[in-house]
Amino acid sequence: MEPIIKTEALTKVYNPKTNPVKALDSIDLEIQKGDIYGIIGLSGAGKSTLVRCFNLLEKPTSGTVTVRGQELQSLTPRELRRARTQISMIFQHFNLLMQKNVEQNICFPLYINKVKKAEAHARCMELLEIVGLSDKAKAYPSQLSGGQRQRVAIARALATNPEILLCDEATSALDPQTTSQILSLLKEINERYGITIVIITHEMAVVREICSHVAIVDKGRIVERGTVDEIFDSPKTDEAKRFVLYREKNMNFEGGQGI
Amino acid sequence: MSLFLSAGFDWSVFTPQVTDMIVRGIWETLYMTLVSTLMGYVLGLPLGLVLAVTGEKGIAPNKAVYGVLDFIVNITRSVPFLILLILVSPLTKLIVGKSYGSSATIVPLVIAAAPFIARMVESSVQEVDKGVIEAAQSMGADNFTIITKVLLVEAKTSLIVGVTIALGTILGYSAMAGIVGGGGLGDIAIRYGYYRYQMEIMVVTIVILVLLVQVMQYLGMALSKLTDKRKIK
Amino acid sequence: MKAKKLLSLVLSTILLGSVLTGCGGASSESSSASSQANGTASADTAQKGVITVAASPTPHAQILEQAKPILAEQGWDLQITEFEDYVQPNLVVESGEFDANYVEHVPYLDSFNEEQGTHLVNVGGIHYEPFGIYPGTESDLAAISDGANIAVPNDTTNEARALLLLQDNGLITLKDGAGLTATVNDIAENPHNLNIQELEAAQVSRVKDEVAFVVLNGNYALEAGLSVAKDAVAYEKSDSEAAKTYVNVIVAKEGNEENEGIKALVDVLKSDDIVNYINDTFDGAVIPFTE
Repeated sequence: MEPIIKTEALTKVYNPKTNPVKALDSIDLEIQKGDIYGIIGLSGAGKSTLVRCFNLLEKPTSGTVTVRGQELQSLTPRELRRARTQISMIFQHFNLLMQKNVEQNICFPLYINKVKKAEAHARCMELLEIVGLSDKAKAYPSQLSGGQRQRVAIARALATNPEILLCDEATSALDPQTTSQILSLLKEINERYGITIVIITHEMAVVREICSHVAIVDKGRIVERGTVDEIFDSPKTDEAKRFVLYREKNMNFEGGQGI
Repeated sequence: MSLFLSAGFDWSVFTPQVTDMIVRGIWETLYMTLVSTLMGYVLGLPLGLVLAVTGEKGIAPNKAVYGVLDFIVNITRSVPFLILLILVSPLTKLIVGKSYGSSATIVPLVIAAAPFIARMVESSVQEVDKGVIEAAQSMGADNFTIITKVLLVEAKTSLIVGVTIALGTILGYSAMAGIVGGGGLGDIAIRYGYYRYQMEIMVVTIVILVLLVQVMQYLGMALSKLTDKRKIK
Repeated sequence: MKAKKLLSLVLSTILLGSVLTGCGGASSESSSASSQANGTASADTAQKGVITVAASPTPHAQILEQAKPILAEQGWDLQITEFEDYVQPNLVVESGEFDANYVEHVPYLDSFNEEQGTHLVNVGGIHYEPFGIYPGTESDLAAISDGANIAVPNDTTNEARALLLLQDNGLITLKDGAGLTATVNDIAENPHNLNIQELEAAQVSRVKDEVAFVVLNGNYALEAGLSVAKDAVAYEKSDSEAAKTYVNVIVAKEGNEENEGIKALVDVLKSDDIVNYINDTFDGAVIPFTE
C-alpha cells in the first residue's frame, strides 16, 4: 500500500550561508495510513523540524515530501493551502486564538474553508461532544485548563475532517493524568475515524501508550525504526536503548509515586 | 481652585471673548486630534501591517518592501513637526484648499502621526504569538486571513492601547498648530501664557488639556481591558 | 526686529553673568582716520571733540555713516562701533565707555533699565520700521468685502501693531486701553465682519494668495520681496501710536542728555539731509521719525 506520508532524502539546513546547521540529514521515512506513528528524540534532535516538513511549515533544503500522493514542494501556494486542510496539527502550547471563544476557535478552519455559518456551528457542537466540552462553547481559552485547551485544539484540528493529525509535543505541557486522557482521546479518534496520527515527543511513555510504530531521531537522522514492540523488546542502537531504559527508570519512578 | 484664588488668580481676564476663545479652543483641539488620529490610522494601520508582515520575522518577509517603507517611516519621523508643518504647506493647500486654519493643520498632523502609528501597529502585531500564526498556517489560512483574523484580532488590546498613546501624542503636536493659525488650547496656552504672561489663561487651558488627556487615557484603557479576553476575569 | 529685541532681553537676563565679564561682541570699528580725512575738508572749524556711538549694523550704522561728514564739518569726530547684540550697547553706555547708542526702541530701553538697574535715557527718536497692510486677493481697503480674511502675526508686539494699523485704517475698532498688547479678543467693533487670522509672523506672508490682505512687519515684508513704498496699501504713519512707541532712539546715560556732542548728534540725525537720505535709501522700509 502506498504510504500516506513519505519522505526521500529529506534534508534541512538552517543558515546555509552563514552558519550552517543540519537539522535533518537525508531522512527516508514512510508512514502508513491509519498508523499512530511516534517520532521520538531528545530536544534539538530535529523531530519538530521533521514534522513541520510534513505540512511544509518548514521548507526542506533538499529531498521530497509526499503526502497523500502529492509531492508538497511541487504544489502552488493555493494547492498547498488546500492540502493543509487535510493535514491538521496540534501543538505543545495549544496555539488557540486567545481573543476568541471556543466555538470561534473551532470554526476558524471552517471559515478558512468557506463553510456556511450554520453548518460550521453544527460541526462545532459535534466536535465539542467528541472532545467532551459541550458546555464550553462560549468560554474563552483563558478560562480553561491546559487539558481542556488541548481538547479544543484537537476539536479545531478535526473540524475539516483531515486524514492526518500531526501532534507536536502535544502533551508536554500537561500533567501525567491529563496526558493520559488526551492520549486516549487521540487513540479513540484514530480508531473511530481512521485518522493517521504522527506524534512528536521526547517521552517514551507516550509512545508506549498509544503508538503502533516509532522512529528514533538523533542529530537529524533516524537511527532506528520499527513497531513499538520491536523497539522495546530488542533495541539495537545505543540511542534506542537509552530511550527504552530511560522509560523503564521513569516508569519505576512513576510507580513509586503511585500513579 | 481655592489655591488659585488665594494666589491672586484674576478671574476678570475671562471676558466673554476670552471664554469664547477657550471654548473654541477645546473644539479645535478635539477636531484636530480626533480627525488626525483617524486619518493617521487610515494610513498608519495598513503601513504598520505591511511593515510587520514584510519584516524579517513576518509572515511574508520582503527585504525590498520593508527596507523602503522602513526608510520612509524613519525619515518622516526624524523631521521636526514644526518644519513638517511648513514643508507640507503646498500639499495642504492642494488637499484642504487653504494652508492655514484648523483643517490645514490636519494634513501635517496626519503626515507626522501616520509613521508613528505605523511603528506602534508594527510593534503590536509583532507581539502576537508566533505559535498562533503557525497554527493558522497549518490550517491552510492565506496571508490575508492571517492578517485580518489572527494578527488584528490577537493584537486588539495592544492596538487599542496604541490608539490611546497616539491620541495623546497628536494632541501634543496640535499645540504647534498656532503657527499656521490652527488654534486649539495648546496655541492659546503658548500665546497668552508664554508670550503675554497671562498666567490665568495658561493655567485654565492647561488644566483643560490635562483633563482631555486623562479622559482619553481612561476611556482607552477601559476599552482595552473590556476587549481583553486573554486573562481570567 | 522688535521680536528679536524682546527675545534678546529674555536671553540677556540668562546670560547676564557672561556679558558682565566682558565677552560681548563689538564687531567692527569704523576708522577714525577716514573721519579725520573728512574733517580736513573744513579745516578751519575748531575741533570740538569725539562722539562714540554703539550701533546696530542696519539701518542704524548706515544712517550714522551719513551723519559723520556733517558732524565733522561742525568739528565733531563721530566714531561708530557696530554691535550684533542688544545688551552690550546698553552696558557700554552705562559704563561710560561710549557716549551713546542707537539700537533699540523705548519699550526695550524701559524694561532693560528695570531689569538691569541701568540709568539710560532716550535723547531722541530717529526712525521706525513700519508695519504695512499688503494686498492679497483684494487690493482696495476701502472696498474690502464683508467677512474677508486678514492674516496678522500672532506674537504680542506684532499682533498689537497689526491690529492698531487696521484700526488706524478704519477697518476695526479696539477696546479702550487695548493698545500695545491688543489681541483679537480686544476688538470692540468689526463692521465688515473681518476674520482676523492669527499666524506665526514668518507664516503671514506665505498665505498672501489665500487671504484678502496680510499685515506684515518690515523685515518679513522685505524677505517676502514686498516694498513698503511700492506694495503696501497702508502703513504706520509717523504720528501713529505704534510709530511713537517703536521708534528707534538715541540712548545716553542719565545726566548726559544736555552734552553738546549728544545734542549735535541728535540734531544732525533729525536734519533734512538725513531725513532725505533715509527716505531715498530704504524704500519705505525705514521711515524718519519727525515728531
